[in-house]
Amino acid sequence: MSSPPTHRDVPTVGIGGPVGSGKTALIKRLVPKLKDSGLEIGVIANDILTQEDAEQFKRSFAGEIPEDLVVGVETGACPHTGIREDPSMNLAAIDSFLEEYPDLDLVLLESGGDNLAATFNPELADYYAFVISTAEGDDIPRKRGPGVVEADLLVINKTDLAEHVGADLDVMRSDAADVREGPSIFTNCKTGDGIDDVIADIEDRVLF
Amino acid sequence: MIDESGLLSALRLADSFLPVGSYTISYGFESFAEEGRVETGEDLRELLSDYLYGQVGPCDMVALSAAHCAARQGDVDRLARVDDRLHATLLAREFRESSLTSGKRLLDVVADEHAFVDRYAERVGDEARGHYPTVLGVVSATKGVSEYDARLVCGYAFVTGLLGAAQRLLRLGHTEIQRILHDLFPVIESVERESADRDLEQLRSCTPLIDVQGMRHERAERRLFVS
Repeated sequence: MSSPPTHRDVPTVGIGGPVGSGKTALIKRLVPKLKDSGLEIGVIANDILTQEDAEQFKRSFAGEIPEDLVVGVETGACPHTGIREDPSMNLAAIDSFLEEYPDLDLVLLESGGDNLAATFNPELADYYAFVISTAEGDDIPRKRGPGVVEADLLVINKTDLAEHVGADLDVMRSDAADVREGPSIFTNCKTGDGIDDVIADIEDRVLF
Repeated sequence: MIDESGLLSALRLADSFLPVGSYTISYGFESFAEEGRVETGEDLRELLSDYLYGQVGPCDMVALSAAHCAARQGDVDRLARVDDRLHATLLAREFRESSLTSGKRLLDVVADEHAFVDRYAERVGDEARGHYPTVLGVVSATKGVSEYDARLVCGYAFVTGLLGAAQRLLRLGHTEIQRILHDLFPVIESVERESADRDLEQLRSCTPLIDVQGMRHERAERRLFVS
């Protein structure tokens, strides 16, 4: 008899980044499109204070994802620990998805809002995107936070706000290219701009 | 791995660096903090003493000792009975879930390090449950950590886990937290002595308020911890 599938048997994509950068908005854009391409997806939200993100996802994905494939994971006020040093609770959540849905194609893991040093444990996420926004200042890439530098993909969100907060997109583009080896994509999660590029990168590097 | 004195393994198992999710578990402490029932260092010291006398000593340490003994005798069936007894004793659902999740994670972390542990791990989810004190007892036994040391590891790790939670939930400084830890050493030693000669049939827990707070936590609006 073959052993039941575990967290090692399903592709996992981490979505990290500071509070308010647009992680939840990005996931809300990604899920319907990934679902349309025939994938069965689970979503885990590492909320800091409440189950609010998970509840928001459940409402948002009603009819698209079964409710029991959306869970919130509490991280004892240590969101970075939950995705980096000790991802136990996230791994347990993935295992419990697989007990019910052994053929699951992908799990999206949203980190709690964290600082620029947060990276994903490679045993938890096969690939991770780090989301920042123009509204946090155009010097974020230049600060070389490990989250920004090490991520498989840097997503620079809220391009529509750049002109209102004095952020220079060209500076962000060129600084990102200087500090990173991987790609960077500009998005506006409110309108959906750039989302197809994010999907293409995930398909290319995770779902091949 | 050769660890003749078991000391390095004991340090590893007592360390908050051990990735078994302890930092996410408060065993109802979050409810005490949220309701303002624990505010000062003195409150915290008293509450942790209650946890130790009512739960950790007579329940966790007794289960750990029984598991340690069963592992030394190579008796996997008895480990399932230890798990069942623990499962029936932990009243709050989140306490049972926290214990099971940490237990399974510890088995995962030490996978392939010892054949007997792997034999027990194969049964978990089927004939055995994999509660944390049981797993800790088994792992300790196979790594040369004595029953006595393993009970102290159990008490120490429990206290540091909850002190960590307290530091994040209350306004307490790091030196005060260390003083409380130091003050609780005699309590850990005392509950260890009391639990040392108890067998599985004497396993019990008596922490009514802690159990109630653990159950209240299930419906709490603000939740930083899983229990």
